[in-house]
Amino acid sequence: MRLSELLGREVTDRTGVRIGTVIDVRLAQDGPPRAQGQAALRITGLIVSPRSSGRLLGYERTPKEGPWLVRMLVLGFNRGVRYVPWEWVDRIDTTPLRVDRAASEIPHLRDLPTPPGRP
Amino acid sequence: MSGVEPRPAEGRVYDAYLHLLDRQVVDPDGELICKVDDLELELAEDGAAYVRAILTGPAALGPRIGGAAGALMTAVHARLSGGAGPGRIPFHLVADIGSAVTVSARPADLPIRGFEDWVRTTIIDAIPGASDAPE
Repeated sequence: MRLSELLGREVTDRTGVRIGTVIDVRLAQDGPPRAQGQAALRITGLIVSPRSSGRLLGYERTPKEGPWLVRMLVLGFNRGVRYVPWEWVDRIDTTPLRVDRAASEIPHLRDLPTPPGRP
Repeated sequence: MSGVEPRPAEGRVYDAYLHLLDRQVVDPDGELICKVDDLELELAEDGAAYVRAILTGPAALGPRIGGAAGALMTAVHARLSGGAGPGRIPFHLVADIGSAVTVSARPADLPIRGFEDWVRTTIIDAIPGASDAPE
């Protein structure tokens, strides 16, 4: 399976209500150790936008950096972006992807703590 | 996968599109190798998913772009390369993820330049005198 098969996929909650479109995939370097000893990158969740396209630009990780106007525009554009933990994805072989939760249970990306790693 | 409590992230956290896709891949000396055109994922039996390899070249980028342009790119590459798949760099070779992705291997040791190799052996080497040309 390829990453590009996840990007752009529609996502619904368990009742079929549309949540949005996958615009990024969050990874954590905490998987099983690989051949050279470092941990594998594990998919921890999907970043889902209510818009049909778009992408993260990194401002959500550094909310106090960058030109104020650009920051406000980007944060406003990403206001409805949600984070779907990978474990909540019911099946990945269906279109749209179905999440085994109600839409109201799915957290907004802006409410999550800033993850460690690159901005 | 459903019904399982989310496992908190440990270690560094990346966003695949933001931090990896379209990034330059370099060797330890900074020599340009390729771009990250896609990532190969593996699904474990417990439902977890991991990044297995970097995919590069027209056979990776074409399907990602999609549409007529992507189909054309994929078809031309398949025609000229004899159906070879994308270049593939196992992810355990990735030493650092920064503004570029650094791998701990030399370009010559990676099977990623299939199209360039095909052009060299099929077209360039067939030109009279090519074997005498300086590097």
